[in-house]
Amino acid sequence: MHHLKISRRGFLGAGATGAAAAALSPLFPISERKAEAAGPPRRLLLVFYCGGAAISQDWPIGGETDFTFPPLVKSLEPYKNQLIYLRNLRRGMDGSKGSHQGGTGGVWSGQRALANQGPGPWMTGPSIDRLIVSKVPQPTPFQTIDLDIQSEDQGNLRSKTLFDLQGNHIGGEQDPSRAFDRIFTDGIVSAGTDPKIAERLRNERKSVLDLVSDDLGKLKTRLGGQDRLRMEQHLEALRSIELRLSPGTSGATGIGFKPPTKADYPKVDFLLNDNYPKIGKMHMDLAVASLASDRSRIVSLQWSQGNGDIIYNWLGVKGEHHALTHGGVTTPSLDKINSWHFEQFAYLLGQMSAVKEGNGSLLDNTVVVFANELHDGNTHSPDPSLTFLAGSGGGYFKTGRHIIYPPVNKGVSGRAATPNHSQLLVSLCQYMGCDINAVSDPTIGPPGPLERLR
Amino acid sequence: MLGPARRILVSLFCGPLLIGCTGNISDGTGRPGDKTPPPKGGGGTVTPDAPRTCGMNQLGPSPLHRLTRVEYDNTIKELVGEDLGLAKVFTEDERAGTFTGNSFSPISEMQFTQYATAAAAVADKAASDLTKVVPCNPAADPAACATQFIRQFGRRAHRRPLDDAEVARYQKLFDVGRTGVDFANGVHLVVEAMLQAPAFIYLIEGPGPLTQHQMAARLSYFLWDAPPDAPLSAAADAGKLGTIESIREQARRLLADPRAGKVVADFHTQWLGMERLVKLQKDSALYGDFEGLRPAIIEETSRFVAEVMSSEGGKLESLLAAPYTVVNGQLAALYGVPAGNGDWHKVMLDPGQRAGLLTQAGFLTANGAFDGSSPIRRGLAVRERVLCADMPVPPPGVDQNVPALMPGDTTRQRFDRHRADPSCASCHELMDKLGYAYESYDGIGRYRTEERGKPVDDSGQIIGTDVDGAVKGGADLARKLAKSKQVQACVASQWFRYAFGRLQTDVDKCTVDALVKGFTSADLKVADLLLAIVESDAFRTYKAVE
Repeated sequence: MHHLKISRRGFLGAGATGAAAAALSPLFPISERKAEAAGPPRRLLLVFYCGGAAISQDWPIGGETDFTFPPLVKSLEPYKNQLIYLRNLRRGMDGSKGSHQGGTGGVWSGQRALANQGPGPWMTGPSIDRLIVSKVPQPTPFQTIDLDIQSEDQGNLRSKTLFDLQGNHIGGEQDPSRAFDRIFTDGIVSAGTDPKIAERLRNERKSVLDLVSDDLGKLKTRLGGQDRLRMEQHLEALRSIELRLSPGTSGATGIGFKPPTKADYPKVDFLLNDNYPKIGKMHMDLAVASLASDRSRIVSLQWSQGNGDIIYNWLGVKGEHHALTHGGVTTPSLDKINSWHFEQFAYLLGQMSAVKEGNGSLLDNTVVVFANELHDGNTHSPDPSLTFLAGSGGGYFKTGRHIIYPPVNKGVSGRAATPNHSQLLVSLCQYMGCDINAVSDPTIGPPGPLERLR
Repeated sequence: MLGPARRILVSLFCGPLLIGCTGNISDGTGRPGDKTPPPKGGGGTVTPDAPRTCGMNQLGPSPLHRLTRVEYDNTIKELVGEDLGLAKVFTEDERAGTFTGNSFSPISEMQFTQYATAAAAVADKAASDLTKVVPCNPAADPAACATQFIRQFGRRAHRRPLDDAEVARYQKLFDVGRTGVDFANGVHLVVEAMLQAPAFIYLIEGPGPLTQHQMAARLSYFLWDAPPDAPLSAAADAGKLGTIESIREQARRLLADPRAGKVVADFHTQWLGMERLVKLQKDSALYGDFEGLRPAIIEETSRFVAEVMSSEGGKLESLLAAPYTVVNGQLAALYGVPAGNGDWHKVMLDPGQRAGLLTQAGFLTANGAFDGSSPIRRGLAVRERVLCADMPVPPPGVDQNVPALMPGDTTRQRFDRHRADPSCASCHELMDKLGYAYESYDGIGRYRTEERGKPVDDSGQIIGTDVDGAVKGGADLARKLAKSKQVQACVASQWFRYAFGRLQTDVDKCTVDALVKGFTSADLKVADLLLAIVESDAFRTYKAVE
């Protein structure tokens, strides 16, 4: 029974130890050459948080470059030169299915909400991550990596930020331990395995997938409509995994980057409220590692969900987050919650700065976007958008700024007014190489890129 | 786009007092019906010559059902004899309304990996003890034994016999594994592939009429969340599921099994928003005993539902308004009834305080607040889930700042002030006044007569239904709701969603009307409703998605 000694529990997803992960040679070729030759790759990290915030407390004060950070956001001060705050950026949404729903569903998509219950498409189209990879397929092992921090909500749109081209929700990885396995090991070959055995194990998995692929192929030809599409997508998922089984997938690694090890991602109860900070940290680390090792160039992190009901026991705050947002926008409880989230974001930016790439850092060579479900949780208003950026994307955007757009004219709907959140989404797509000029239905958000960003 | 049944319900809501708030029956995001011609009958299929209530063009499409997380784990348990709990880390199930359904969205690459990983874990298990899955002695005649294993395991994993070509393909894969290492490795590869095959992950149907094996799978996954057992499989093999009588006979047998009780409990848990109970938190300063009570609160629902199913065939009036429940010692203390010896037992309750599911700790806790009762959440749950009304959402920009609780204020006084704003009142009338009837229960469902030293006022009002009028307390409300035709129709349509994994559309009107009619003209037993569902044309017919 010698074959059982090589654990395949978790083919494509488990088992490899820390040493094993580091030894998975195809995954971690230290190849600075690409970065040197063609410049660093374009990378995008989308970070969602919820419940709204008070700009007066949670955002900088001052002019475009001479701004300072109030006490609640001191944690972000070290990254001043890498940040872009977008003040008075208008944001519309389709609130017909609910404000938490429209606010959350539209944050990365700019799309119109179709339903607040399933099944079926939730939004009129994709979130920009899926839009980008459909237009500009990425050369990385993963087209995108989606990480959720306690975002499961029994089928309500308010927990959903990512959508495929048809507007169906795409759930993220909730369990950091599984996410590590999936992203950083192939789960088949452990360290020190005889190359012949390694080859056999890979070939066996390919034989298994061949058979499954045949079945799916036959099945789809006799199905119609949505069922055929489901089988086509199922087959596409299989193909992307087949590709990853072949050695030699890309993997440019930053100079200062230390690959993660399994020991950093132990099993934890990822749905337990009080594990929220722990899961958050692990997922931030995974996001940084994924970008730094070029496992993917597009990563999303979703903290909780619209209408989120995390209870911040570790801050001594009593009550569910959402209930607290209905007590005003600058209560001591909300200030503590938002301040804590900004500290998490500062940690994320710190980790990215620590990965050196050429003359800069991973942060310099990525665009990180932080966006909230709403602006004012109390009134459910999303307008103006509570969105700021970090990292210039290798100089694509001009950072170290607090861009103050013209004061918000409350008489004009956030949907139609410019400059608009939907235009930021266009700019992000263009940064990633998409030749598009609009993402939204014009009644939800105007077309064109966002002015003054570059 | 509203069907007549819906129009009637809508009109019930549109009173002159309810300006700006017209809760209507949710119709979600269905797709229009298609025009597939009727399939021709064939050997071994579910015969379409039984008397039909609804014509082919009155049936909605049958999208392929992908196993839910619960069904996946139950299926693996049947295959390898052990609950491996693998699906607990799968991506959350897609929903039809509030019910797990998996009928529309494609899976992602991440979900494919989840399936692959789980399949490998099951294969590890199978290969580690061949005696559990291999029905012969590999040493005697390895090739013949492999074939026997493939046919037998494949029959169970794919819920139908494999044809010779399929057996040959798995045999080839088996040989890859066996040549490379040994017999067990061959088993490993075959199990891995069979569990990633669409025939395992989805309930594959079509083209053409439902086969007997497909009918068997529909029956057992609907009534058990599990694959067909040996008698049901044998009936399908023998072509004995071709008539309504034979389907009814099998369904009755399945319904008598405890697994059906679990499914009916699961329906009620998802319907009334009680899945939250597993992880929601309560203010420990107010409800210090909640953590200890949590498991019992969750268990009460399933025990109570099972009790009503077994003793009264799931009579709706009892589910919604029974004067009894099933408690253990902890819950007995919460309800103020005799604890017996502390074990689970049926107990009569004070009819002034309790009546059925809507007054039990599970519903009241799940729909209560972190630190209080929450008339809005409880009222909204009744309005949306029990009356099937689609409440409009608060418009963006409305100040939803609920006034802070003043010292000495009751919850009701606080929300009365917030409702004083006429722009809020038109909608909040519809939910708050239902929720007020629950003011005599605290955040975890304990009965109370006082809040903050003031007497509790639990008088409420039902508005916009067929049972309108004043109510006093949760038990009174429950008894009135149990008599409402609107509630009865809502329950039938919720079961439609649960059974078919999708929301009803206009094309389903014939099916749903027949179910409602059958349910309300009989004595409103859920067991009868379930039989009516499996006997319906929609349940016995495959109709292609176009």
